[in-house]
Amino acid sequence: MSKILIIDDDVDIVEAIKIVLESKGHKTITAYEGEEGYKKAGAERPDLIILDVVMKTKDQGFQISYKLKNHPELSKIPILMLTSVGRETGFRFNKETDEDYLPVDDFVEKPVKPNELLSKVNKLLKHK
Amino acid sequence: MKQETDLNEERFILERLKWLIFIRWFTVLFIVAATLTAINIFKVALLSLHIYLVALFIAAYNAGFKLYIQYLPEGNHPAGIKRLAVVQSMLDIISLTILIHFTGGVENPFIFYFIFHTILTGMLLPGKGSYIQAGIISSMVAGLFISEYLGVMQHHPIKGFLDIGIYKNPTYIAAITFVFTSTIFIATFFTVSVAEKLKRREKELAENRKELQGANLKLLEKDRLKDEYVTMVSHDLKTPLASIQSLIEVLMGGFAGRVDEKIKEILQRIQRKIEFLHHYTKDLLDLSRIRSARQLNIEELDIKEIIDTAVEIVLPKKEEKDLELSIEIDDKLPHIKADKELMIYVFMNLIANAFKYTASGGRVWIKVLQTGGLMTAEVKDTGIGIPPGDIPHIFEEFYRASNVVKTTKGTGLGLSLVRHIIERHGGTISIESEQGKGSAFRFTLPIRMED
Repeated sequence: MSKILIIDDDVDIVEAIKIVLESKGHKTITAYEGEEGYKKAGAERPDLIILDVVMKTKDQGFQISYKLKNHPELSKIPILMLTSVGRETGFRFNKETDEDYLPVDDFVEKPVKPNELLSKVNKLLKHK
Repeated sequence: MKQETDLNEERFILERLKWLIFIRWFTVLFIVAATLTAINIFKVALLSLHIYLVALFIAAYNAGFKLYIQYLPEGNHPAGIKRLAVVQSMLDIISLTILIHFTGGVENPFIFYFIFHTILTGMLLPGKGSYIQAGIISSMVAGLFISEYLGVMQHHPIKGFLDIGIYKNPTYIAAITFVFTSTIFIATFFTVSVAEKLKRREKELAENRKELQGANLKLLEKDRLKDEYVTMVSHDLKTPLASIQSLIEVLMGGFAGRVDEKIKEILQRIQRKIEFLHHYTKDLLDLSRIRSARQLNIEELDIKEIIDTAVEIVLPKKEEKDLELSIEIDDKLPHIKADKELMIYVFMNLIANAFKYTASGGRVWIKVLQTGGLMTAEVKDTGIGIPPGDIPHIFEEFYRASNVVKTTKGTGLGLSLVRHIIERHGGTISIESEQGKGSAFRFTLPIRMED
C-alpha cells in the first residue's frame, strides 16, 4: 500500500479523493496550500503527489511541480495534476503534448471520477 | 491643455508663414512682369528703376525670412512666431505703399490690392492685430494721398494712363479714401469673424477629442475590471460545483459505504441538476464574456484545425449513440481571419447540438466550402428538426424549440451566441430544418476580414 500526498485548497475535493484512495487501502497525507504541500513532500517522501493547479495563485500548482521536479530527491515522485481547465475552456491537458513545459506525469480532470482517478493512480504507482 | 493649444497655433501660423513666403516670390515676379507689360505693351511711362528696387527689397526680406524660418529651432515660443508674422506684414504694407507712391498714388487702381493683405492677416492673426493693421494700412494710404495732394510728397503720375491730375481733386481723394478705408475694415471684419469661428471650432474639436480619449481610457479600464470580475466569478461559481460533483461521484461509487437503490436514484437526480447548473453558469458566463468583449482577437486560422479541436471537445457528447460523422473541407480554402476561441465555440455549439438532437443511427455532416470571397460552413444532421413556428425565434436568447423544451436540458443561449459571433465577424447565419427529418445550420464568413 502506498503513501499519497494530496495538495488542494478545496477541502471537499481533498476529502473526496481521500475517501476514494483510503477505500483501496492507501495512506493519505493532505496539504491545503502549495508551499505547505512542498514541505510535506520533503518530510514525508510520499509515493505519489496529487496536485491542484489553481490555489493561492492561478498557477501555484505549476510552480510547485517545477520545484518538485528540480529537487534532487523529490524529482522521482510521480505527480498527478488536478485541473479544471477542461471544464472552463473545453481544452484538455495531455501527457504527450504538454510534457515539455509541464513536468507532471499525468492529469485528472475535475470533477473527480473515482474510477478514473484510481486507474491513473495505480498506473503511476506501478511505473514508479 | 493651454500649452498644447499654443503649440498648435504656433504650428498653424508657421505653416501659413511658409506659404506666404512662397506666394511672395510670385508677387515679386508679378511686379516685374506687370511693369514690363505696362511699359512695353501699354506704353506707359513708369519709374521702372524705383519699382525694381522695391521688388528687390521685397525679394531680399523674403529670402531673409525663408532662411530665418529654416534655421528656427523646434518648439519655439508662439510669441516669437507671431512677432515674425507682424514684421512680415508691416514690411509688405510699407513696400506696397512705396510702390503705389511711385506709380501714381491715388491714381493707381492697384491700391485695392491691399485687400488681399487684409484677408491674409485676418486669417493668420484674427483679433485686435488685424484691426490695428487695417488702421495702419488706411492711415498710410490716406497719408500718402494727402501728402501728395498737399505737395509734401512728390506726385509721380503714370504718364500715358491718366494725365488729368486727379490727385489734386479733394472730393475724389475724400471719396476714394472713404471707400478704401471702409473696404479694408469691412474685409477685416468678415475675415476675422470667419477665422475666429473656425479657430473656436477647432479648439472645441481638440477638446472633444481629448474628452473622448479620456472616456475611451475609462471604458478600457472598466472592460479590464469586468473581464477580471467575470473570470473570478466563473472560478468561484464552478469550483464549488466541481466539489459537489466529486463528492456525489464518491458516494455513488460506494466508496463511502454501501448505497442502496433508492439513495442512488436520489443522488442521480442531484447529479443531473448540478450538471444543468454547471452548464447554465458556463453559458451565462460565455454570454457575458463574448457579448461584452469589445475587441475580437483576430488571427489567421486554419479552419480544419478549428473543426478538429471543436469535434474533439464535443465528442464525449456523442455518448454511446451510434452516429456517423463526416467532415468535408475544401482543400483550396485559404486561412481565414477570425477569433480563434470564438470560432471553436461556434463549431462546438453547432456540432454539439447536432449530436444532442440526433438519434442513434443518424448522420452528422460538417462541410466547408469557398464561394467567392466567402467561406460557407454547414453543420447538418438527421435529427429531430425544429418545428416551423420555432425557426424564426431559434437564434433568440433563452429561446428553446417547443419539441425539446421538456425533454432535453439546455439554456437556449448557445445559438444566440453563435449568431452574435458570426455577425461580429461580418458573416450571416441561416437555418433550414424539417421536423423529424433534420436540421442544417449554414453560415458564411468573409475570408479576408478587415481587422
